[in-house]
Amino acid sequence: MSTANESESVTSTSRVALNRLAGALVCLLGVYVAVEGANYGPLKAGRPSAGAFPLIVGVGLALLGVSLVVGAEHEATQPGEDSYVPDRRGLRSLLATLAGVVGFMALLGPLGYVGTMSLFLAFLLLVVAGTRKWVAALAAVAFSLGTFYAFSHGLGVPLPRSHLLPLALLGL
Amino acid sequence: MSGIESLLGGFADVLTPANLLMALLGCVLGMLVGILPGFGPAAASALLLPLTFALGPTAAIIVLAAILYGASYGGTVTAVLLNVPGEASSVATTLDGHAMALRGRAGPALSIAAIGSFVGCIFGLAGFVAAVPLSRFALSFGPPEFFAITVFGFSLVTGLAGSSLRKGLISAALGIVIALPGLDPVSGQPRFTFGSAELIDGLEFVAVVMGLFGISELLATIDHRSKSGRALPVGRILPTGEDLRRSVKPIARGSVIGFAFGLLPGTPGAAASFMSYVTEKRFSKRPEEFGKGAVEGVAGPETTNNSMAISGMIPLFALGLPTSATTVIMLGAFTIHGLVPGPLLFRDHPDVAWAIIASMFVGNVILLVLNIPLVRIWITFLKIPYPMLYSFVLGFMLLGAYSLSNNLFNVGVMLVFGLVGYLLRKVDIPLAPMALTLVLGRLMERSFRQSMAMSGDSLTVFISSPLSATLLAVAALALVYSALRPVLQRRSRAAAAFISQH
Repeated sequence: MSTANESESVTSTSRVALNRLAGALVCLLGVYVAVEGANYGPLKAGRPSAGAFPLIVGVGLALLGVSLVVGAEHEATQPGEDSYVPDRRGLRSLLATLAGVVGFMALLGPLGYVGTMSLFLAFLLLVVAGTRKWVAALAAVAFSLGTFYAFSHGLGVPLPRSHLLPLALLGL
Repeated sequence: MSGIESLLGGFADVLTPANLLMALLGCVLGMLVGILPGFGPAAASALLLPLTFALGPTAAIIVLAAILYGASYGGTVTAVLLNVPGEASSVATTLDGHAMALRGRAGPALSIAAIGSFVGCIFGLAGFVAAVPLSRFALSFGPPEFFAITVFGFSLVTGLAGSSLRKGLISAALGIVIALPGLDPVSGQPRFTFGSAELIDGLEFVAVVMGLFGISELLATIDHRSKSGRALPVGRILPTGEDLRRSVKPIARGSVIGFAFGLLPGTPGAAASFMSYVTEKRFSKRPEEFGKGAVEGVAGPETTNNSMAISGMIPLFALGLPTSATTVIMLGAFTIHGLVPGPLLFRDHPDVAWAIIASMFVGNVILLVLNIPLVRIWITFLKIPYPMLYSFVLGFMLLGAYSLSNNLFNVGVMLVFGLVGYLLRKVDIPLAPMALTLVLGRLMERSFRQSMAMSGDSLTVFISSPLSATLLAVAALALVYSALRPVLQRRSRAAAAFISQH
């Protein structure tokens, strides 16, 4: 019983800290927007100008951020359905997703759509879904080729092609 | 031309093989995505929006609208079979729907839900057609009226805020900040562009919404062990005569409740469906069956959800005002195809507007025909491991974001806002207010500054127009209501507890 209570207490404390951190970040963003708004010039010839709206919104956001910092304990009493800490496997999936998308962005130019999407999907299927290698490779290539032809030929959306010879020769 | 004549013209445009195919495609795809646990209509339409890019405006909106109903019904399927609501408004359905499924009556539960959804949609559409003349009235709007409309829109944030008004307001303010980069809407001065040419036109709304709703939903679902779905035997598909008899009045009442709630923009769907649930329990001769598989507990809330979904589109079509996450995404689709929802839509593109309305009728008929026999297939679909689906859905979203302007900038925007949305979920900051203000922010700034310029910088311009003054007063009332809402909710809960005890 005491363990459960301690665990509950730690979770609740973490939620308060998280709310305070969120409030502080929101406040900082608000201050930045307000300062930039002031730099753009809030008034010109006595009339609201380009900086007026950012200044007002920035001040409002900063005040709301302060309010969240102050009211963090109250806010932490009603956790939402997503306010849990990712487990180890979930964290690995999140990091793999991030790495995959960054890799996709880096490789799309040289490898073209089919090569990059195949690598991206095979990577996610292996790391996140734990699929067998040959299934991951086959599914990734089939999806990439299918969407490539559907979008570029069926829907008329031009997708990048590879500069590398083997793929370029195949028109991919 | 009367509304009925225009609607008949719309039917003539829609009842072509190509458009019928589009409606069918949208329903099926919407259901395919909506059936994924945790994916509501907003996320489904964000995911599938890229499919509409290469279509003409009428076909694109027909597909998107069909995706919305399909996804909505997909959420009902998981609510009944797995006790996992696809969206907040399906929560009430789980109470008796899943109880029916556990008793081997999943088929009747899903069939009644399908019939109720169909009737609710048709009722909502009939009201929709009657409400279209409002759009002509809105043609006389000037900058002060538009400013008042945006203020009214902002007051809706309170209804989308969820349990914390403070966090709802933070979300709303963040939405305005996201809308700031780009050229100042009046003077043309660049703001918050950081020297980037891509930001001169501002952030791509669709990429932002795909990230905020779609990517963040995916990340929030994959970051913990997903609940393994348990397929239940469906058994008898069609409801019995007794089921139908018991569902008639709940469906009738649910249609009215849903329509009324939909007209109050910003009202959470869950509030309407729970209102229907409580009402049915109060009217029922067998209140003790509620929670144990009462068919009325499925018929009422499901009808309410769908009637509300349609009447919630009235502000978008008649006034150009998106009032929910799904209508915000629909607004995005309109914009992509060069259409401006609101009064100008009915003046400049009446054929498109009425074709879309007619397509909603046709789409719902298609959905009703599809729903019942497809139940067994959806169950099989749920057996595919979620991480595998996750990989393919993510791949599809990358492709969609790239296709927005054929460059990687929007992929980056989608990823960044996906992470922002994910982190906001972790601290319980709701995303819907942000989506609303993202749309309204620039319009509010422009109309405010134009109003000030035309009035010689006098704030009285906003109350000298009766329409503007009325809208501002309504906005003030909405804010007062939101302040009093916690008290009203406490009383409502006490009443519900009293009902359940007696």
